[in-house]
Amino acid sequence: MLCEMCKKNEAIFHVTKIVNGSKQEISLCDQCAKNFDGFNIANEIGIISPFSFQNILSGLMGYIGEGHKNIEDTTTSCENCGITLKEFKENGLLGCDECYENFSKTVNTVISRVQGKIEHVGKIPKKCGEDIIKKKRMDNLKQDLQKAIALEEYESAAEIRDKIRKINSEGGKE
Amino acid sequence: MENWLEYEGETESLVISSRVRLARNIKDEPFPNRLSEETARKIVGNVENAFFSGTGVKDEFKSVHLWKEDNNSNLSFVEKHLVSNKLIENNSKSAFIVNNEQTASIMINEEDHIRLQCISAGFNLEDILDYANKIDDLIEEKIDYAFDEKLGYLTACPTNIGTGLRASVMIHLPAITMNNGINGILNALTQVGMTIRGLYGEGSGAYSNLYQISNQVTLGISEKDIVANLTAVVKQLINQENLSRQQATGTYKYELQDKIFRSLGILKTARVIDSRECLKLLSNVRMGVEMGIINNISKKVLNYLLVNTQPATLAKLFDDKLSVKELNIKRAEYIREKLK
Repeated sequence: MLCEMCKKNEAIFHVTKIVNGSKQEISLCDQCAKNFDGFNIANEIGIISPFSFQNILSGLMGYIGEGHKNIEDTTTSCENCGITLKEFKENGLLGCDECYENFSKTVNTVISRVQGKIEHVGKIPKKCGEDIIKKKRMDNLKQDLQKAIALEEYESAAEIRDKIRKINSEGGKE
Repeated sequence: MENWLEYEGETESLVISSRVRLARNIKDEPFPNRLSEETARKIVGNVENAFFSGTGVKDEFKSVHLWKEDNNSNLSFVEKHLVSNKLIENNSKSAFIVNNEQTASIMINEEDHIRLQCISAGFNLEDILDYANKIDDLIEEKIDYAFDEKLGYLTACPTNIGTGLRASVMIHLPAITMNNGINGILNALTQVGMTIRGLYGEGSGAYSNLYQISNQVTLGISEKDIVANLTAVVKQLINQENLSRQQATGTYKYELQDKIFRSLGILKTARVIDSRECLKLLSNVRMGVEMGIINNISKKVLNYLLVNTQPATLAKLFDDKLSVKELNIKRAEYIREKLK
């Protein structure tokens, strides 16, 4: 059995504490037993690192749940993998990629709180993201076009327009 | 990329290693926490097939299935920073692919299907990111990743979503620790989407003085910017640490030297030493080397001592069945031998 404090070494000390009839037990390795000064720590074993992400996340979600009406019910489950929102709240892990869709309200609220932003601007996979890359490039070009027109830079606007036409004729869309 | 243990570069550098980690998942498969052992091992096979089909990787990389390894071997992989604790917790389902230099590892079925980690000596996050991207592209040729146009790479935990990138730098900050400055740093870093934590688990920085600085925010910022921001912040920390050391030398020159040489003395002569004391003394000696107070000990020796005196790795070097007390004796013996 592993030590319950460090979870690394073999436990060789077993401490039992009985207070008002309720019994608590803990198994420790000799290093942790040496640093184990008193029985009170046993109560805190579960919260050795109170600021782990999962704890913060479930606290956060409990908090969101109180004020927001438009959040899925905790018994809602993901159609694809079967995980419930309650399980996600408890351990902070989603069950599959479709959970992001199926729990979108809750998950998006969580994301905007922990990440601050909700739009990916980094790497896009080359193969399965091919369409997305094209679309993003098109969006950028259209934005540039609007900018150029607003600044009355008609020459560069014409260049951008030609680029957009070229991409459209290649893709056969729009 | 250079194995951080073998590092012989600038002795005054405070950065021990730099690391980049990319989290990726396979499209349409449940995340590892929802996988049966059977499906999980099938995914291990799929990732291996995808990766090893690339040219020239067969000779350079090998695969390790954790369900075939014993507990001490697995823990030793963690102590060498090759894999994470989480991968070991999932040892019935997990595996990793590692290169010969032990600078790149692809963890399979950690919290996400794929956790690609590249770790190198010194302070060079950009090069490491380039290398990680190459391996990522190689895998992506054969495997469809779970990717969303708006949210980026989808991960089991929403804290990794977007780029899936966690960049981190391992740095030695004894003077700031002595001045109780770590909490102040934590507060400041949190405000810019980064964090600091002790190297050997929560709160352990207090005796090893080794910290990991990493980004917390992974969405809405590009990979390049994450790495550039972290690099800038670490440079500031290096300045602050050096400043604290200069101040300490100014006021307490002899006390500081005394502390460093006593630590070396204990390491060279002790007969019983536990891992916590060992980490603390190694930190003092490392500071001596960084400041040019100790000249005849290399960083490489200190790095190997750091890893090889950790419980599981030490036990593997000698005998897996040693008790903690016997290990403490073996540890002292091992250190004396290496510092001769």
